[in-house]
Amino acid sequence: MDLDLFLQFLTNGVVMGVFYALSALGLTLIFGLMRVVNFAHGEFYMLGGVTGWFVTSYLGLDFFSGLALVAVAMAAFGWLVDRFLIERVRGQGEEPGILLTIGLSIFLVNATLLVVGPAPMKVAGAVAEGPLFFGPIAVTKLRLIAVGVGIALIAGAHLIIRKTRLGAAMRATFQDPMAASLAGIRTGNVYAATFALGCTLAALSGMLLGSIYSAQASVGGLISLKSFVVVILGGMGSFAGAIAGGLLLGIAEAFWGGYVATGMVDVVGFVLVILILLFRPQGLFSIRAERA
Amino acid sequence: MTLERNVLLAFLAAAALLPALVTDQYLLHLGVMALFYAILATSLNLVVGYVGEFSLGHTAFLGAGAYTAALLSTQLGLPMWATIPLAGLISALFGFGIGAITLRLQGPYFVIVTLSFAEVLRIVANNWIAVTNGPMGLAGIDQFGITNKGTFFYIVLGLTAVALYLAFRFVHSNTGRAAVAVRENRYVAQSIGVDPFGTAMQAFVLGAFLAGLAGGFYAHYISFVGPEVFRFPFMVTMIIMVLLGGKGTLIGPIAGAVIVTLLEEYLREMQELRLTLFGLIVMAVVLFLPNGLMGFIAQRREQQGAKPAPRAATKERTV
Amino acid sequence: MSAPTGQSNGKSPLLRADTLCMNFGGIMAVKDFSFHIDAGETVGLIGPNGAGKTTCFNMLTGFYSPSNGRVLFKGEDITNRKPHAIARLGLVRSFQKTNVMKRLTVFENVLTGHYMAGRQSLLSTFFPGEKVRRAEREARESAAEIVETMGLSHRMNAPASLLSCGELRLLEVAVALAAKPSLLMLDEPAAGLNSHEATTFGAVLKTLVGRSIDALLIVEHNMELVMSVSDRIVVLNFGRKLAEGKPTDILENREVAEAYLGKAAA
Repeated sequence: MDLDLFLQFLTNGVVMGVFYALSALGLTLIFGLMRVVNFAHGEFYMLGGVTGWFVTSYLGLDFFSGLALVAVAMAAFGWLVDRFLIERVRGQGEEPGILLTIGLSIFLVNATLLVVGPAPMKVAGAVAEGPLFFGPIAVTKLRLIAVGVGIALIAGAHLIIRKTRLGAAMRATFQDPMAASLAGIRTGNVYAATFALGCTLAALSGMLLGSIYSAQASVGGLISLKSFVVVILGGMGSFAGAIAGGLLLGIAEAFWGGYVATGMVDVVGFVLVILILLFRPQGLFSIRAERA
Repeated sequence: MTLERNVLLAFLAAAALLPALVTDQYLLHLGVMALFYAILATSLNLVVGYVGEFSLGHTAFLGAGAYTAALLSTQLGLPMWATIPLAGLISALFGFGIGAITLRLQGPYFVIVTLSFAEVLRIVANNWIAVTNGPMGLAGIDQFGITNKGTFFYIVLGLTAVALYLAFRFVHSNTGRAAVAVRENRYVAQSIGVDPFGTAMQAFVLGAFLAGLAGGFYAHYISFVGPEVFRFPFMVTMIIMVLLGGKGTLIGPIAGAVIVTLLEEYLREMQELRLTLFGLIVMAVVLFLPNGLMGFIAQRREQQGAKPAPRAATKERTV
Repeated sequence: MSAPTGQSNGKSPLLRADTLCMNFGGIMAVKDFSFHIDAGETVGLIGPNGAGKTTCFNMLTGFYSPSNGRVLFKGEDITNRKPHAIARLGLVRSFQKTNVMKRLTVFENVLTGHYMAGRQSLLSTFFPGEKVRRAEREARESAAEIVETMGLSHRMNAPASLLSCGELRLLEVAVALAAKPSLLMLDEPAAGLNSHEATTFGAVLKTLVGRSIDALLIVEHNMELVMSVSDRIVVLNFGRKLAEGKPTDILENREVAEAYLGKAAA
């Protein structure tokens, strides 16, 4: 086996894996914790890319100010979606949530198509293009930066959940909403905040990856599916799990594409999910105490 | 039960008159599509409405049926009366295999894994060029010289009658009641001797069979099958028909199929605007008509039934 | 020729449990629980909250797999069988909560309860022959009859969600009876009833054994009710059997009184 080639595949896989993890982070919160099977996740991601393109090319902001503005806008958007839509079907099982988010996703994709059209939009990157070489392995600078920003985002979200009052309220609410509300936590706000945070994370990864690939109105469906795969592989609701799930998917796809067949790369994730739910329904990286 | 049967019979009878009254090929085409979707919605409803598990992978069976009929026709030259039933049977086999895996799961896991299966089949159909001809699809499926849409209309009407008969029998049988018991209260169902897995499997396989029939018909009618039959938009259309009409009833999905087919057609001119509105309609249905049109009608009838309206029973889910 | 075949069965109990244990992640919910029920008996299983009564129920009916021990029903080992398989042998139970199908009517609930008598192949579902049709007719007649015996005829077509608490309790028993059990196990069937309703309910329970079912096991907190219907009482405390005997003996048992009063005083 060619070691250089192997390392290149591994590197590509890791980079893709970080991106997958990044794009699935928001879903980890919304699907993993809130148990909303959010089919609009990919559209949140897409909106991040499209608004990112708008603020960088029309408003002329630099990448990082643009990122901050997108974060604020999408947080507000996520809050409103939860308050006006998701809240009305809370506690009714997954079905109405699925339909609601499917409806939302159809609406968002097509409204975006109406406004900006189907063409790909390039979000202005944080740094110039160009590859970096580490021995025989090539990685573009942009990807390295993206991985860096991605890791910062993951760490930031982790800190919010572990170290802030909001995070504590979130953990309490998702463990036992009744007890949490008796303890004086406004669970409605916590749900909305969690949804907003999930929406923001999705949008930021959309903008970040939009600077590497491009933002496009119709990209959402694929992102939603891959993110579901990542969240289930990782075992629902843990950031560490999502990162592991993302890396697993990225690396598995890179090697499958490199050594087996390029055409069917997208099948890898689904097959992994089917196998895992068959043999380890709690996901790869979580321990779920289940009562009979 | 008798009311339901009479409504369904009246629907079939009224449909049978359509080609006699209408000769416009375009309107007949709409009729064909409405009935095609009525079969699909009925088959999906068996899983979503009667077993109570939310399948997002029903296109797997539609596609399996369509490809089966297409291959049997183009490769072996079998006639339509053989390809369509075989499409149903092969699809039922797929249902058995997929059900054996997915019906052990519940809730969101069931949703995602059924969807995964449909996606896997789509990717395979897209890449297994030797058999499926990849993204180009299988074209030129024999239509046996039928040029009048009216003839196709009667074929699909016959299939609809078969589908409704089988679904009606199933739903009103001992096994159908067992399926409802599992949906309503899994524990009580087990305590009266119902095997939740086995019962769900029967409904699932029947649903797959009917979807396969519809797929087989579709292959001949359109004369082309490509990987799109497995795609999510097909799934979304089916599920919206079931929910708009009212799941867990036999009339609801039929009504949903007719309404959505006509609505989609009406808005066809403006693709993106159409779908934008469609998305809004879906959200509105979920929020304002949670039990579909049939649920709405039942509620109205209850309210008119003189009695002081009892406190609405909150939808309860067992752990 | 005149061999008393019924008697040879009479020797072995209808249900026997040997040293059942249930371990929930290191916590012993039930330990070494052994007991039996004979045909013709009504047995009351009592104990303070958290004593492990429902856990026992779940182990006997296949909803939990015991960590240790075994269960014999009609001489057959049913320890790790699936719940529906156990029900098909004639052991039917109720649950503490959500015991009916709320969106179905009273009649539909009881009709659904007849599932086992009318089990059919998929083919006969689609093309019902005379046998299936007769089974269906009989199930409908029997369902109407059971609804009537339980005194619910006037609510025949009401959705279960609209029933009063007392009516719900009766419906629960009706659904279980529809399954034609040999041994019926009821988990707190009188919960939420006032004392008048409970008395009526007790009277209904007393008519069951020997007529509709072979034996009855009930878990109940209403002492008056359980003492009046049971031939024998088994007391559980902290997952272990504390006492067993006739209702009168149990009422005088000092340990039992302490287990309950101690709990009440706390």
